[in-house]
Amino acid sequence: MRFHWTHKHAGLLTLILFALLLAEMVLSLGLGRFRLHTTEILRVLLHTRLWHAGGTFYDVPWVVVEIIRLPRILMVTLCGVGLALAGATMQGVFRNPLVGPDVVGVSQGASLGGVLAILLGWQPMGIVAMAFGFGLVGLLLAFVLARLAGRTSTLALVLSGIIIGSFFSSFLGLAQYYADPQTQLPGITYWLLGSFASATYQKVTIVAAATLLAGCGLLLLRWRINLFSLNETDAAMLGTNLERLRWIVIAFVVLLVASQVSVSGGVGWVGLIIPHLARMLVGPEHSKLLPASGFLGGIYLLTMDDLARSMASQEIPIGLLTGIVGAPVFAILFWKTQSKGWIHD
Amino acid sequence: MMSSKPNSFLQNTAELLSSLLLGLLCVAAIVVSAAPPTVRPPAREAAVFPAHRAVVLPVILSAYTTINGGSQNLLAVSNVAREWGSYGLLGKVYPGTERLPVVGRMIIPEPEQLLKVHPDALFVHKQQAEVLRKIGMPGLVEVNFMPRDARKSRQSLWQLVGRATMQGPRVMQLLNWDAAQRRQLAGQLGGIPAAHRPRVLLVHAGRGMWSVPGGYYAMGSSIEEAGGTNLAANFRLNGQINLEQIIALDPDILLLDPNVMMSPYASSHDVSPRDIYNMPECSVLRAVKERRVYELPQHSYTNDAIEDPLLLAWMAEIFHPELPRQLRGVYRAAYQQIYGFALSEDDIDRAIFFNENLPSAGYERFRRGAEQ
Repeated sequence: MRFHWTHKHAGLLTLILFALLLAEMVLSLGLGRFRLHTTEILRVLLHTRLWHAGGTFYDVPWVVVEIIRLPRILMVTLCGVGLALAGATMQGVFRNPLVGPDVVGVSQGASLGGVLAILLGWQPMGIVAMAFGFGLVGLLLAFVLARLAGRTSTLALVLSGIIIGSFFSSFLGLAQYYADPQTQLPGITYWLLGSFASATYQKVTIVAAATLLAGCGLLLLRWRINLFSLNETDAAMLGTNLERLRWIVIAFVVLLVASQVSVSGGVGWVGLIIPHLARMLVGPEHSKLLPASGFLGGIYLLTMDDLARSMASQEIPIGLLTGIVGAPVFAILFWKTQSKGWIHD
Repeated sequence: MMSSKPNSFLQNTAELLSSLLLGLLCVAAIVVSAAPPTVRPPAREAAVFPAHRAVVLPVILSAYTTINGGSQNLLAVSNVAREWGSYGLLGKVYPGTERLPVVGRMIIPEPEQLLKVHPDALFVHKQQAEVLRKIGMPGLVEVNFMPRDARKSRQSLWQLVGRATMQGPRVMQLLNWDAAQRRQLAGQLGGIPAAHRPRVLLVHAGRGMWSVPGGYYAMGSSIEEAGGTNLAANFRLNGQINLEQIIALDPDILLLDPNVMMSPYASSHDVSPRDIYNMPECSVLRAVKERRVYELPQHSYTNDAIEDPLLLAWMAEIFHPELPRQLRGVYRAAYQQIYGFALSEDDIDRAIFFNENLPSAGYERFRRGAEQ
């Protein structure tokens, strides 16, 4: 029964999710270790955003809202949207509900790039650039390997991704092994666990630009992503070159994932569980699934980040929280959807 | 097959709107971040010296309390700084260190927590300072202590802490004491020919793993300075070593380092000399046959202007048993002179791991009352 209702009202539901996301972003501005009154937050936002006024360190509420929380909330939201979009797309492209953005070696590549930059003592933007570059290299190597094997199927790409991912993971271990235990290892460990604590407006721009390009690109292709449920011959009869489409779609996914890893380190499970939740709400059709997944991903990651920075006396790396919450949620979803099949339409 | 066409006008509009909203969200984020607000630097940006409300995040607390004469001006520290700042005898000298409030895990700063604490001097590792620089946090004191370059960076660290606590003369006094102790030791060891230098290997042992602190760590040069030959001098990196390599090196003396901070692969006190003697696979080692396996005394890596000379005195007597038995006296005098603290005999026993090392050759020389 519920399923019919959601199908019928998928569009409305997606708009409600967007409204919830906006509301949570506003509420999150009030959360944190430094207690701020709502009027102070409003004063800071109106003062800065409407009158373009700067602030001084001595205006602590201004520093907390404008310099610490606002860029962080924007970054978390966009990363959540991007990761969920990437996950929903990958599951559609590979016709496999267990697939996440990690399978094509992008996350491992980006992680290695980031860790190498930390080892070399580079500044934060250097870490972002290296993570981004290595994420793209990871995908490229996976594609080249699949091509060398003479196969262009999704299975060949997944296997190549696993090989490249494992290869990068080994180098990641090696880099940690040789890191200075006093000065470099804590930073590397913290970065790999995932955290948005170092959010800056520069990083927001990177993630926003990637989400604008790749996220909107995926949304424009949302009808065509449905065609991956057909075989190549049927798709060709409809005038679509599936392989070319796959390349374009995966390139968008890489852009989303690499931009996220580069700014915040490893944050797992979002791209895996959110598409399942969204599918339960709006059904498997990608024109409805993608926007719903995106907004739900933003809500989920923002909730996790709010918890990470306020539930304990010291910040908990968000990658740990998404893992702790994600695995049982995925187990429940897996158990619930097994009887129906993952598409359950 | 799934339908790829919109069901109705409303449905289609809602979907289109969703895509537009996502785009709008991204554009809004770009617009907001395109002209980021900048923090206008406060009138007095530098740290206020002497610091009355200091926060220490890096693992330099032992140096700070030694120079400052205690933890009285400290508001809070990181968990790792507190752990290592109250380790060993220093925890007895300055018991307040153990009760200092904690403001961050590891050495990563948490801006909101630090804003709440509002220190007038905030010691932070240079590599982790970016997040605080961007909020214009005043009073930042950036520390660039690199263990691989310990001697040089230690001196600049001590001078930095000396400036922050306005204890420059005390820093000079401590550094002079350190230099005098080293000179005295060099004089004692001057006549020992190179052939009589024992071949020494320093390892971290635990959880079935062995690792060596690479040759560039300060401890390697301490072995040389105390009249030994460092077998790990050519191991550039800090890392794992297997038993076969240790057998191949076959050291005269095997030193076990209880300081796990220098090795992520071994835990402190997992393995004592007694355990090594009981391991059948180690029985072929010369150091085991001659019972010359020792656990290093307690020490921290950023208080080495005090603890390095004590460690050197210990090593020299271990490497060259013909030297006079002075160690207990050296410990007592150093703590009295530098901290005004009278060490008990039990304190010294604990610091030099007397009971743990007793099964090893010649350790009886360190028994209380055995001094010359």
